[in-house]
Amino acid sequence: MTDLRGDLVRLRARHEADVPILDTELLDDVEVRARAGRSPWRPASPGSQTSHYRVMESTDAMAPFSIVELATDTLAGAVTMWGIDAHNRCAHIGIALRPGFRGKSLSTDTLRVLCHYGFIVLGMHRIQLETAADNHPMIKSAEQAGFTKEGVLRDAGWILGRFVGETVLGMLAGEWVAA
Amino acid sequence: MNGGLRGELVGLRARHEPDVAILEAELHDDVAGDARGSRRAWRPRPPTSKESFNRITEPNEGSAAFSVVELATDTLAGEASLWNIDSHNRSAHIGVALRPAFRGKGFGTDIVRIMCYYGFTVLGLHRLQVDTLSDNHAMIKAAEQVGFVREGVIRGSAWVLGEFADDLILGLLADEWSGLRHVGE
Amino acid sequence: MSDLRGDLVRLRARHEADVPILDTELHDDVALHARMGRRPWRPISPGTEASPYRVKEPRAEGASFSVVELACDTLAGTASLWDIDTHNRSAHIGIALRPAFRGKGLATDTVRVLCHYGFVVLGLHRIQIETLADNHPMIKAAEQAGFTKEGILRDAGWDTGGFVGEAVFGILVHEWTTA
Repeated sequence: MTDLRGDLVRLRARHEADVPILDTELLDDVEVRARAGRSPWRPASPGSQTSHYRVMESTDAMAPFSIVELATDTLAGAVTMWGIDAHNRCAHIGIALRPGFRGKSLSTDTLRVLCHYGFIVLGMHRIQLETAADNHPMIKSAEQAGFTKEGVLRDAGWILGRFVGETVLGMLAGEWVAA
Repeated sequence: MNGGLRGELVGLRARHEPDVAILEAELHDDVAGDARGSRRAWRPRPPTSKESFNRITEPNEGSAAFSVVELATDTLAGEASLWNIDSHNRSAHIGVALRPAFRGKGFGTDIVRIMCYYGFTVLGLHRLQVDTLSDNHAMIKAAEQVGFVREGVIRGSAWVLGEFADDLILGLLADEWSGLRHVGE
Repeated sequence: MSDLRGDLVRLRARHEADVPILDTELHDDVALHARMGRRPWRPISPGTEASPYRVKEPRAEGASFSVVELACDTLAGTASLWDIDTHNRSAHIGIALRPAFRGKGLATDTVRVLCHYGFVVLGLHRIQIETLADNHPMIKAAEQAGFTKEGILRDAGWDTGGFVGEAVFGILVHEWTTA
């Protein structure tokens, strides 16, 4: 792999043109956002500097990517490696696909590419992914990418009127097999 | 309207730049209407003023400002806000102001219902409150239709155009709220 | 409980006089520090702003306490509720006892008092404890206080020369009963 590319997707930096699309499809949707984040959905005007999807600099602790579907060369979503901890050599993954790009196995492929970035490029030892315990597509994608379910933090998130558990999945460098 | 919160007649979305001048002109520049709707003295202000309640603001934990859109026409109908959001006591206040041409159409009830979904379901609050002048029958009716209960009258608490008026406080608790889990479902 | 007091300890705000004791006994012990925190040990000069135990102003997202043993009215260690999340209504517990105050059941009592603070005073729904998977005294304290083991994040921490798993324990408000 010479750039960050899998079978179905490639990852690149965020472009300005991505922002309104991601804001509209991922941030403005109350139910999608409630399930994607730890903080409650709030109305954000276009161009808000608090947007999770605004163009921002990568830091030692965080690397934001846009996901591009190879078949159509179209923006398919966003994925971030966050909480990059150089001491414990672990990091977290957060991923969100645009509604029209779900159910096409793009998330499994995205996870594989990001694992390459984390394990090979950054030299991480462990990569972790948290998701709502009833988010079966995400859990399935993570398991297909090689993640192991390590526990469920019971009632850890408030999602649309009730507490929902948070499933934690982890993968160690030694378990990762390059695709 | 895409995204945001959708009811039967109206939707609530974030403020967009073109909304600001309309809301300033129709809500703030109406001196009598503003005096009834605001706790502060009316003062002249330019449409771009930083003082404007209707200006674009960044999302924050203390309040949530929405523009109200009539779904049938996709037109700006007014503004609504959840203010004084208190995450320790888990309470907040609801404020609503409709453009003159969009009053008397039942939008208030729909807005209060959507705000209950946002406050109770999305934010997980325990109590919502409506503070209004005791003769604001449209607002009182909207709140009561959603289940708000009259809790008290604060006598002579508002200076409105030459005389003191009473405020009425209505409240609704999460376990009293009959709302569907998902608005629009 | 009219103040934050258990059977063996009480919790109070940090005083200036606590800081050099905690710095010396908890921070300056490199091997101990490696097991307590997520960050690597670094030399810290006495009295500097870098001390993790310095006196801080109250803030919404964390509460730092000093632990005082009731029997001798002496500083026994530090305890905190951190990452207080008022939307998901959750927080994490961190405890470190001075070496001479270990093995006396103070940790269990401290966890109970912190639970009272979190559930009753703050109105939280969930409290979580993370500790190294081989930290048996802390695990025992968590279990005795009523916490449930929810998972092990494999190899999540770097502890002087090797990766160690991190055990996650949780307790929900309805599982907590005042002892």
